[in-house]
Amino acid sequence: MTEEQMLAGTIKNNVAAQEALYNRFSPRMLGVCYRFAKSREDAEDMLQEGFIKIFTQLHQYRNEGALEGWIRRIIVHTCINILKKHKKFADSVDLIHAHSLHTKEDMVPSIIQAKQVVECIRMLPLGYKTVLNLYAIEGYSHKEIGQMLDIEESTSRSQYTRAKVMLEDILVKKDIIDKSQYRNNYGKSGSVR
Amino acid sequence: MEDKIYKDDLEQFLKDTTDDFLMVPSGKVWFSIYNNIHPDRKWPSMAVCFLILSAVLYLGVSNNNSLSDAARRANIESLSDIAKNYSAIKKSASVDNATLNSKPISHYLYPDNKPGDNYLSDNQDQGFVSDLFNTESAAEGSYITTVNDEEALSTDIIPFKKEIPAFSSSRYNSDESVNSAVKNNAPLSVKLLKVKNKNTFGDNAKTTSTEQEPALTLSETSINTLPAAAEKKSALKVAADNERSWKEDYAFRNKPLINKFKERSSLTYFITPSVGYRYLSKVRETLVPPSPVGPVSSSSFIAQALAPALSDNQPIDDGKAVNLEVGAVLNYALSKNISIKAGIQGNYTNYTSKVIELGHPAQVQLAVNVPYNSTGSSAFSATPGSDMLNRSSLQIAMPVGADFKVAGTKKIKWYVGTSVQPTYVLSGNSYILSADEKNYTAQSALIRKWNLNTAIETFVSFKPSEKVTFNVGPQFRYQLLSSFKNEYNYSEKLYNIGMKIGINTRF
Repeated sequence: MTEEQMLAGTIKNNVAAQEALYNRFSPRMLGVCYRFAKSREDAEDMLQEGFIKIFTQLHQYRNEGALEGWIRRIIVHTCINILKKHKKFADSVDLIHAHSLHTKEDMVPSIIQAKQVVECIRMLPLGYKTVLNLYAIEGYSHKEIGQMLDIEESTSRSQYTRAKVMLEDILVKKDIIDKSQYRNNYGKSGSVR
Repeated sequence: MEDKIYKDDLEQFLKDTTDDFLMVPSGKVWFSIYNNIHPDRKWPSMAVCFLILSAVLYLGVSNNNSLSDAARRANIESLSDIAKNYSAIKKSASVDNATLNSKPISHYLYPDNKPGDNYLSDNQDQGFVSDLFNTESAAEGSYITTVNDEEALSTDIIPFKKEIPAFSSSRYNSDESVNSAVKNNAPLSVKLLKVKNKNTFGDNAKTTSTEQEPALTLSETSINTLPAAAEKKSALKVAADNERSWKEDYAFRNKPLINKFKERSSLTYFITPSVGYRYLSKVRETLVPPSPVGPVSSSSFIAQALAPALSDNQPIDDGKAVNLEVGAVLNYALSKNISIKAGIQGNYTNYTSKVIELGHPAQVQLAVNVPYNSTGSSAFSATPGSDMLNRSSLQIAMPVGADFKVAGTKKIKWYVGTSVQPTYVLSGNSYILSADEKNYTAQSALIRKWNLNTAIETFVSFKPSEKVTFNVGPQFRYQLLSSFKNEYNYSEKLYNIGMKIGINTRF
């Protein structure tokens, strides 16, 4: 089933098309949710809520940009909304907690690299990992993050800086990255938003 | 600057790495989403719930022994009529005490009845009679007044009425009006009967407290101390015997209709562990489009050794797995050898297929035609290293069938039985084949929700007591319709071979 067929079928409330859409995007979107969530169960709850929004709002999709990008934005916003219900991101608790956080060897599961990196991100305090996920991976600016999380832009920046230092420390300790090799592989392709 | 580049590299690294991270959501997520976006499609579940509730309600009602108020009133009116007839007969000069003594009253009331039959062997009947004589309507005197026909009994007996104290059992005392009626209006014969026959009315009489004993002693003492006591005692005995016969006759003729159903009915609870297999056959060729358009699906599994088997239209060597059925059926005996049955049961079906998990998903053309044409959805393994696909489903079914007795003795019998089972699939997961029969892809939307199963079985029943029977025997169950909708180009039939174990209870 092509993407156009899926879109048309889903808007017409066709179950097969809806399931096809779900099956195509749910694995990647669950990976996104998992980076924000405390557990797999929480991630599946986020995914469920996100896809319900997607199915009910798909008629608003104007074919501007990739469908996956549109879906991803809805999923990310759903994750943030769920997290906000339980957590005030303006709290400084995360910062205090972060300074006392020490990574342990056995805390990082030794499986494939993508999973390792995701697990390392999930080890960060909630505020750190949320900002890092939104800024470094999802591509939101600090201003947008501030609006999404109801925090100051400067808070987002500081949390991101600390998060990146902490994550780097974890990744190096786990031999997931090597600073010198890392530079060679990625060169100067990064961009600053 | 060096540090700046390094930090940007980290961001790029994170983005590249985490983009490859995929997880397979559990099946319940899709079902929750489905239920949320299609609330109108819940009616099958609601219909099944309604059926279950109806069945439970029906069983509850059919197990209820008590009569409704209307039925009680009707019975009392009927009793009143009978008593009037009795009174009229007694008044008749043609019937003297001796004749009355020699034949039960039912002989006169119902000439076609067989006298002397003891119809009160069933405890339920005893309970019914006892209950009947303790109704409020009775206490109001609707029948007692009629029965309290002084001409119906010897006038010599009347003076003793006041000497007999009211019963003080908890049962009778629970209704003050009953006590009052007994004190003032009830005939002596009835009063004595309640005392004298307290051991002949089964368990209900046992509830009478010991406070009744002095009443009996007092009345007998009084009787013995008065002139012509022997004759009066004899008259009392005659009256009591007559009334007992009359009550027995009444009980027989006014058996609740529900008992007829109960006598022939029983309830069987069963569990059937079984081994489940599937038979897969190609229905038609897949229409392959000239060129794939747009993104195509991927599959994580390769069907191992499926293509050769399918090309010969032979059953695939899928792995068997444990299945289970649990349920209850209501049996109704049409004759000594044939009984019909209907009920409800839950099925857990399951089978496995050997596969190889792919490290990287592959694009596949699905073996389906419009509207599920061309390509399907992706399937990614959440359990690396697994080489087994498991297809399971939860079903609810309503078996309707019959059992035939082949042979047997009073204790042990041999039956054969058959049933058809309209089935609704509550939940399940499925993997369908690709067009080249090399891959499996998850596709739950193609599962057929309503299906039809049939079962044949033979079993031996052992009856250790009147109320309980144990059944055990092999069962073969076969699914008549494919597990998938018609859009899928293959037909999958499930079948099970199991051992059915049941316990049968009579009402």
